[in-house]
Amino acid sequence: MAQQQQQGMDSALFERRLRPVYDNLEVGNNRKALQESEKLLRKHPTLLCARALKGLSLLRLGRYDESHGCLQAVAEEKPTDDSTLQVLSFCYREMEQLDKIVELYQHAVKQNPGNEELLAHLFISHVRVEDYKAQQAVALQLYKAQPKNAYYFWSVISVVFQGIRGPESALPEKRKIYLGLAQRMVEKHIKEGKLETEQEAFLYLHILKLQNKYQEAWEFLTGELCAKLYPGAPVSMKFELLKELGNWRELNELLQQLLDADRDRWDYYKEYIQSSFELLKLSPKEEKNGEKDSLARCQEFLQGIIESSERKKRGPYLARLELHQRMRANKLPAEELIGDFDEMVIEYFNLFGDKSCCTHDIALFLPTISMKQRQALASKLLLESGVSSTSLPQNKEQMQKHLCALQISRMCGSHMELPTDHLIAFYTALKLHYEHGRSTFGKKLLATEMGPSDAYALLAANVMYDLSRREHKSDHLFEALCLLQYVLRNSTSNFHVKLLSLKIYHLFGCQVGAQEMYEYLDIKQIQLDSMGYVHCQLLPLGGRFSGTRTVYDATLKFFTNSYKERLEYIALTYRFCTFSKMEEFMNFKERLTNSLQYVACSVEAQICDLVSCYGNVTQNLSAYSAMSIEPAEDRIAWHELSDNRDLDAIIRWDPLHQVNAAEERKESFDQEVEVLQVRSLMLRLFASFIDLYHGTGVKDVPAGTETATLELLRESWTGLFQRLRLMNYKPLPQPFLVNLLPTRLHLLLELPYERFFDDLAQLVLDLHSGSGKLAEQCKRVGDNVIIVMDVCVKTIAECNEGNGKDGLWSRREQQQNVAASLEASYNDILSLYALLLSVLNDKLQVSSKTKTKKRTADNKENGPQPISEKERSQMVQELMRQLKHKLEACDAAIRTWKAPVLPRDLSSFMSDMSLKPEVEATLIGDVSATFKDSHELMVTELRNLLKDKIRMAAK
Amino acid sequence: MTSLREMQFDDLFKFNSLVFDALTEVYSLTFFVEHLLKFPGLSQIAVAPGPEGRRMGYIFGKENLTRTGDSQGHISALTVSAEYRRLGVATALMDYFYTDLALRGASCINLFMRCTNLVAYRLYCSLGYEHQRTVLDYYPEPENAFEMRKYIRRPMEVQAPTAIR
Repeated sequence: MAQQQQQGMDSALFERRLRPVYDNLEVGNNRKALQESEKLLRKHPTLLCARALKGLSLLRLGRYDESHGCLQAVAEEKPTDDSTLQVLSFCYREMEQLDKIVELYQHAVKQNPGNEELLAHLFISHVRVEDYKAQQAVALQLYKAQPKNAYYFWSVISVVFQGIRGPESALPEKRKIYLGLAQRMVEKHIKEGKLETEQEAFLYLHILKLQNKYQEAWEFLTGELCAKLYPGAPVSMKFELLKELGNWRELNELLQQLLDADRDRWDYYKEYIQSSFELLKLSPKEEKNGEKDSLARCQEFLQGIIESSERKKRGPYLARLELHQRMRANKLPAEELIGDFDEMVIEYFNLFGDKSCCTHDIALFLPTISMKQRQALASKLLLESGVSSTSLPQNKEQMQKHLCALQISRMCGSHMELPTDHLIAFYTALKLHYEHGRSTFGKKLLATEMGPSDAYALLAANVMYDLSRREHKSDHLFEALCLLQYVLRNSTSNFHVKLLSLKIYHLFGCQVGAQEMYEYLDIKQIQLDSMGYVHCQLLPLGGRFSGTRTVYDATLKFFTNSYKERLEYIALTYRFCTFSKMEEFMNFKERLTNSLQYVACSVEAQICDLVSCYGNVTQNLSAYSAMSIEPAEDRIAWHELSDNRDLDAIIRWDPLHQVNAAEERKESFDQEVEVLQVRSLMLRLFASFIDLYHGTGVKDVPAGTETATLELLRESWTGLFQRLRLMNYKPLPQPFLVNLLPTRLHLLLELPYERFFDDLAQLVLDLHSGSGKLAEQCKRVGDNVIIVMDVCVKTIAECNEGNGKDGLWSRREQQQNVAASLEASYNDILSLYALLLSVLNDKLQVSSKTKTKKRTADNKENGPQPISEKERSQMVQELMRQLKHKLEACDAAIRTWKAPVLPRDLSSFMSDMSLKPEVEATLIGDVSATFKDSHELMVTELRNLLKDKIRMAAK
Repeated sequence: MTSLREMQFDDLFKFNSLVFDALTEVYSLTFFVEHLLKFPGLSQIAVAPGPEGRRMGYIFGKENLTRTGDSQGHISALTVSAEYRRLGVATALMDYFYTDLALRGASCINLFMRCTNLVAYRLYCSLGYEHQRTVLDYYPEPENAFEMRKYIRRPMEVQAPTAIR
């Protein structure tokens, strides 16, 4: 009734009146938007859109209950006008209630059957919840209402998804039925001559391929229609089909043609060489008949390209090496046919050694030759570069060749076997080469360019790490850091230098330096996911909570934004009819949503907030409830967590036989997931403690089961630690500078985390029930506090002691790391403990004053008398007194914590460089100051934190 | 020595060695997603040989339809990693884009570049692009931009306004 009345009115008028509400919402002035909508509703109380906008304003203002009621009322009127529907679906999207949008449009469509716009909205609402079956039905209705090709293909793709992604896709016969149906649907359209676009042609090919109907796909792909609709079809599609069809001869010929036209395409060469090997398998007898076999023809073809090309391209040369490598792998006479491997590599080096990619190119072929041959080859290349220990490169090209040869020799493991003094001399030479290259070839460098000789310094830093590791002393690595910082002043845009510096700062536990490099790298947008690992995972160990929170905030903002936007992106795929990208995009979306980086950052940020709570009990509790942690509910999809780290961004030339990047990645990921398990469970367990006393959910639970969640979580907590010990994870080895840093897993296992929270859980339970063992449990928890404190104080003492001794930097380095982490983690424990005690105390004091009826009832039923609330309160207060005392002791220890002593003797450093003394002094001064600042900041922050906790415990 | 292929969403996780470059902008996710979803074939990535498939360079492009229904190509982003420069990667990517747009019946291709980026200017000129105009403060630093343009020639009969699409 209201709607009809509304439709009758002048819609333009309403639009004008609604405008101020929209405008205010747009600029984020939600309060004003609410006022405007209320004003409008006074005049037109039935105006649905205004009521929906009021709901949206309330939602934005955080008044969820009111908003919910308002929106519910509008939805019940079953609106059909576009603007109201849009506002409502916007609200539901924000609240992640996607199924409500479906209902909304279902009602609307029911009242306006055949309305194209509403149907399209209904379709997209099904897309959001990935209900492919419903999608198909709506798409067909749409096509009936408006026979547009797009709608027809929406239904086709919905059928395809039912076959490959939907709930029935696991059943092979169902899959077959759906894909067969999709194929027939497209074929019907083709027969009617209605296929129109490239994406439609793609979809047909895709459906055929999914059913392994390669011959039909081939015929369509090479047919007239496809040529007309899809002229830009990637030629790789043809390779793929020819391979599936086993038509190697045709593939071989096709690739020869393509390579003739484009002589630098690795993808073509790779397939070409493979097809040659397949042809050999098919007709091994050709040789006997006097004909050349396919490999000989392949070699001849490659040779022909090499000889006929005027401008030298890497393609055919690399292809020849690949052929050599594969022939050897197949025990075929490679040398006989192609020639000597070393000579070919040297030829390649002479032609392309002046390009910086030459190292990676040659490295491709090293794993298939023996270690001995590798090192011999490396020496040959060094000789070939024409730079010896007594000469310098004459030009940029020669320098690049020298660099390439040095990088290769590191990859071949030659550096690892050098004695220490040789390595030091080698480092000095690298430093010298860097400086020479910079001053000779790098003078007119643009701010956006990398220095031509920077790679010497990068190599030098790696060598110095090897030395530090070998000697267990950090002097070398510290010197490398200074060198890198020097390079960074000369070529400000070299991100490799920044990444390595960041790593070294983290190794030394210097958070200020690390943070500086992280900011300098300007990591943003999707990089926050793929590159965040270089910094974020290490932050909780640094003892600086405020800085840490800022980094997490930036990261989380990216994720929440893209999480919201993902729904709109999905709608886009349909709007653009980009069938070729839909699956890929859905997988991408899932990778983002389940990114370990995302989940870990959210959990750490929450812990960080709880640890740094500083207000009074009421403030802290409201901060806590705003975090809306649901202890009973595990929100993490553990099996879907995704590793999105880009480990290849950091350049490395480490010995190939000692690097197993894939294994390292897996091991580190597994451990990071376990760390997340511990942290998230700790958070939930802690939340269950608080909820038991101040929770909202507990009231709804039947009496006697209030503690069920807590007990369950406690069980999982001890179970988790038991499992982790059984798993016997090994700390990640750190053979090279560019390895992933060890995870926190072992730290978490070594610290008394498990016992502390387990005992705490018992304490909370005993306090709740008033158990007779309460006093005993208080003692246990108190003892735990003492243990934690003792270790903390001891670590600081050890750290200071190590500081005094000379040359023990590496030990100190570890200690500082450990100390920093202990600090952070212990404070974690103790801060959470302090927060809990203050909450308990608050509650108990209140309840001991106002004796409830329930308690007297309890007294009658239970045999043994529970300890009175007053006594309980006293016990908690005693624990708080003890905590306060211990926190003060800890504060005293931290006050005595000395800044790290840096290696004193750096006079040799840079003496070979053409550095002015004042430049040298400021450089080393700056780096040292960073360390000092970092320590002081950490001490200040920790002390501030302790001060807050002492205050908390004192109440 | 390059492999060219259509840019995939997963590449976005692995292109850091490219986007860490000082002149390469890391755009918002919306930018990348829109390009990939709307013009899937027009964004290409060059990949080096080897199991890790090191990323050498990429091009993000699109096809705009003018009010008269005329198709025009636009290159939104082009970058080549420092390690893989002077090997013809950029040329290969640009050639690919040109060929594809020619097949789609586009009349011209344009792009914007920093007016200080001489290396890029020389590259585009060598590929037949011409300076069309200078846009003041196009970049936030602020820096001016050159609009570069290249027309796609084709025989008269194909130039009919309704190309296949």
